[in-house]
Amino acid sequence: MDNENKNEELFDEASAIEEIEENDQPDVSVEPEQPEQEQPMEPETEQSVEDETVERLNAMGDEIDAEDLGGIPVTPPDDDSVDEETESELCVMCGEKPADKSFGEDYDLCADCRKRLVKAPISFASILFFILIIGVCFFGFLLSASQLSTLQAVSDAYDQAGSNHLYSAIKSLSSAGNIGWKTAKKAVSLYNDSGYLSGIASMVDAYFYDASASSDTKLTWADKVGKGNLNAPWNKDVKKIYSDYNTAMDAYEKYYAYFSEYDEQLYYGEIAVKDVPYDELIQKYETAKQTETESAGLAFISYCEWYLANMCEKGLETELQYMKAVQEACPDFTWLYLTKLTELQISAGEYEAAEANCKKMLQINADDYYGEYFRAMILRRQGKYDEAIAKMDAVIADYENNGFYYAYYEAGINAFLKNDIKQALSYIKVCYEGEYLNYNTANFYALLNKLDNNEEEYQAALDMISSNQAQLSPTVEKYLKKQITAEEMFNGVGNPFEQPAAESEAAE
Amino acid sequence: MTVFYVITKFLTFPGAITKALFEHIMCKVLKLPVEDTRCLRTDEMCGHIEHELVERPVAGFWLCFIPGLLNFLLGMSLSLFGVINVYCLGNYTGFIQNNALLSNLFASALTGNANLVSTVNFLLPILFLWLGFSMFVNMAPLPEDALMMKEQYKNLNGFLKVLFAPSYFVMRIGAPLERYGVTFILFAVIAVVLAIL
Repeated sequence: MDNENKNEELFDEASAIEEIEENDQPDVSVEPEQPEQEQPMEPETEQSVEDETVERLNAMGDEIDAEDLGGIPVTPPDDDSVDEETESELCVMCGEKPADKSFGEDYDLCADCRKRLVKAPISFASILFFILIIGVCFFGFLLSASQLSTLQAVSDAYDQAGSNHLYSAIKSLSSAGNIGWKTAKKAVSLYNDSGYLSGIASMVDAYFYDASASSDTKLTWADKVGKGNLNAPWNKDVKKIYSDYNTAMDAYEKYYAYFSEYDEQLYYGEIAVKDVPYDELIQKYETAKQTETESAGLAFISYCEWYLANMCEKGLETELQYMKAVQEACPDFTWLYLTKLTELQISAGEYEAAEANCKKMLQINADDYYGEYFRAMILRRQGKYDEAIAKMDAVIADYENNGFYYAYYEAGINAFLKNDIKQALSYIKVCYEGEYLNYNTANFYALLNKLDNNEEEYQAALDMISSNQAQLSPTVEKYLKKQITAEEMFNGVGNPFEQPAAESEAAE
Repeated sequence: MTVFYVITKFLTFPGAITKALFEHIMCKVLKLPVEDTRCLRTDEMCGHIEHELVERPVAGFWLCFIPGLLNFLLGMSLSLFGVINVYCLGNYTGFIQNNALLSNLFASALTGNANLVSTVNFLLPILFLWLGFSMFVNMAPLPEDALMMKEQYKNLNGFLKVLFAPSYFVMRIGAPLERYGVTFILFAVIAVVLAIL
């Protein structure tokens, strides 16, 4: 206990003794010290300083006047609240220095501790990890950069497909390399719309798997993770196209088999056209029509009938009849009938129907140059040669790598019909020297050179024809002898350059 | 919910680590005391570092915004390869063969092993997608930091309010979503839907 408190007690004791003597009555109330004195736990052998002092005072018997004690300075009691305030001003981290109150009244860190926390080092592991992430990111950029050409090609394909240029889109996709099953979905649709059916099978084989299909080849892990599932709901369009394609091919194989052997024998010249049992085969097809329920099957029956009629040279009307039947059986199979039907309609003089078909071709595929080619053919038959040439010039300019040789051929015919031999030669020479050298273009080239008095080129053309075990067409001689006109040559039915009676194989 | 939050943080630990790293760097730039630098913890501070509250104007915004922005940019960069192959092309076969760099790197190891080639073809884009996904899931600030930013945002003038409004609202909304693991679910759903489309 502090000294200050002891003095206070002595003063109290003295006052208590004085009161007792005055009242001569024990006054319990003025014995505040008694409870302290009567602390049972204090051993009597050990007296506190206070007790000792009280005894001495009692022994003295002197009356202690409170005034006498008044001179004794009294130390004020401890103020605990002041100690608490001092503790709260210290830093909560180090507990030694006072908190820096410049950051706020409630701030509890000293300046040094704060500085230490501000400079807390970044974890070395975090930095290493970040560097690793940056490295992986850079590697990803390298990988992505190598795929930019694929992305560009695919992007071009989508743009071209969006503007209905299907052939251009297919060409872009072909140049893209490995395109993945998502892009392959689009490719399958493009192949279906454009009529390049063989592309459907190759795309599906390369990018999709069918777990439900019965096959000897077991489905591998590589197939499952690397390809699209043909039976998944998001691939149902692909599955339908593929299924329709298979149905069509099955039907074609089934009905082509009726006369395939005759086709082969005719091709190799083993039999003549008259040896083909045309009526019997047509009857067989008509019987098959009665039992066939699928529209694809009916379309292919009519298509095979047309093929047979064309092979056996049954005439324009018969061919047109069967091709119209194909259209009627399956209007969606435009890739099967539209081109041939249009050509037949032009030959038959049905220009309005042919024009409508040309429009339809271009609506389906803006890249379908056959649409423009047939339009030029219609103009030619209507005597509008300059318009036809202009149309073909536009196709030539548009088509990459000058690949559409029909445009040159048609332009050459129109130039010839308007008696511009030089212009006609300029077009036909491209066909002759390029990839469209066949019996017709070779004979046409020979005729034009003859009319142009270019004997050297004329002879070269004759040599070219004979080197392919063929002879100059009688049509050329007839024209040179003025036995037929140019219009009769090119605006009639069938090939303009008929083959000589002793048939020999001409190089196509 | 804290358990789910911690689980999402550990599942996307690359993003959590980089986010914490960026926050620490921002604290150094803003001279903020950092009390605890551990980023992967098992409490609600997982994926963030413990630092003193920011009371300076606009500093709170930058502390919330910059780490999120850096994680976003990192996410875009990392997910690029995965996006090209999984979402655009659906190309799980052949990008190794089409890629001269990878063909040279893995030629001897992968020759004649179709399953290994297909597995690598499949896993590599998925890995990059997961890294990008991790970054995107860990973009939002702590709700406490977002709250402090909110208080500071109120005191801005009109022009600054308009300027900072888009990122402010994204962070304000993102902070509680990330706290309850909703961003994880959200980005996972987006990833799956895009893969199918």
